[in-house]
Amino acid sequence: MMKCELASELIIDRLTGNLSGSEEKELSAHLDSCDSCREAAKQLRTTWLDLGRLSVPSPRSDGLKRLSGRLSVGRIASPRRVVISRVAIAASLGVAILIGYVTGRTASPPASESVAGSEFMFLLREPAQPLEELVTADITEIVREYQDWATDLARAGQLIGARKLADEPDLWLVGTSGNRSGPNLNTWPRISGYFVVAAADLNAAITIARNSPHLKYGGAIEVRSIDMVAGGN
Amino acid sequence: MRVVDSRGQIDSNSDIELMSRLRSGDLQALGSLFLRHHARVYELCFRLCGDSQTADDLVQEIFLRVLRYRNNFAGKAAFPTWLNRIARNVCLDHFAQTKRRRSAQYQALESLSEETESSIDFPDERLTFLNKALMALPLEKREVLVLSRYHSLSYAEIGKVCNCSESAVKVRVHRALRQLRDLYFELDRENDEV
Repeated sequence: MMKCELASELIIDRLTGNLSGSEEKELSAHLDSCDSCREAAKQLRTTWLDLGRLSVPSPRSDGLKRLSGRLSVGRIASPRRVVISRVAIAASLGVAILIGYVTGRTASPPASESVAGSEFMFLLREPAQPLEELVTADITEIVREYQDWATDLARAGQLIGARKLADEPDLWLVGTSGNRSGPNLNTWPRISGYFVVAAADLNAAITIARNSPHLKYGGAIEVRSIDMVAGGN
Repeated sequence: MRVVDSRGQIDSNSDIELMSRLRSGDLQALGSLFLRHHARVYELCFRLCGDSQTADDLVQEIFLRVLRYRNNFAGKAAFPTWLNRIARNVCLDHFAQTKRRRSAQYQALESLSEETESSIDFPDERLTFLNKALMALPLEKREVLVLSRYHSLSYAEIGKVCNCSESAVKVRVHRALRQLRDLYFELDRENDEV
């Protein structure tokens, strides 16, 4: 016959889902014959169930934006000086696009209300070659430059969209059969992400692109006008 | 591959894949992990600290630590377990920082009559009291009870988060729930007498 002391433990194990099948049978048999343990089981179950009724308020809706803001002040970046590499550029671009994504969702007016009527795509290409041996700089500053650029665009209502592409080998489909090709195909310089911006005209778009830190750190930007007639607004 | 888009769609990659991308410098993966896990982490923080604003701030710190310690995630433990461990450490650091100012708060039941820091009111007075009783539990009891009740973790899984043995977790959960039960039903008796 099970002792009440053990039953007291098994009652809680049953509530927490840590009771085996054989223990369940033994416990049930004990509760059938022990009034005090049955009362204890009832009270513990009530406490357990009422704990489940304790609701939690919703978290702030701007959590991701706040996190991006924390990134912008470089609190997580290593304070030591590092060598710029493709990884550093990719990380900085990631921050900028994350910011662009967040602020674009919450701050930018729709394209129809943008400050300019034309739209342009910036295809951001990687540096021509790794820069490890050429330049050293503080990664925090690089990240901040990318982020400031994206934030300014968003605040000006010029940022329509942004995405960073995954750091994976290129994969091309070529020919009528769509044969897979690459990553040996010479696709340099690779596209690492893109921005879609609103600008008055091509010259204005070029000015925006020239202000990007991407050029400063060895990347290239392909500026393309978006055909607003074919599928545009 | 899907990424977070304008509709808030969450990246379909696994947590391990996202951590791999984060290690390679892709900070967008951190955004995907945040959108996927922040609500659960927030709930854990709120249950432990009892204040929504503090919980929001702790969530921020937790995901910054995910980034800072991304190279420490080897995939041996499930990502949620690793994340819970970070969350717990952040909460412990928070309590340690505020301990001097509010040392009495976590000294169990004596503080029940005082105003707790819980920022939520319940329509049912009994639930309000139960919440205060939960918040008054010593942290080592409260955390295991929260992980068991609200996150449905086994004793073994809780042990991995809290860095203690399965048997130690079991003892703490038992003591915590009994302590709550005693308080809860003592209140009932008092109400009956009134």
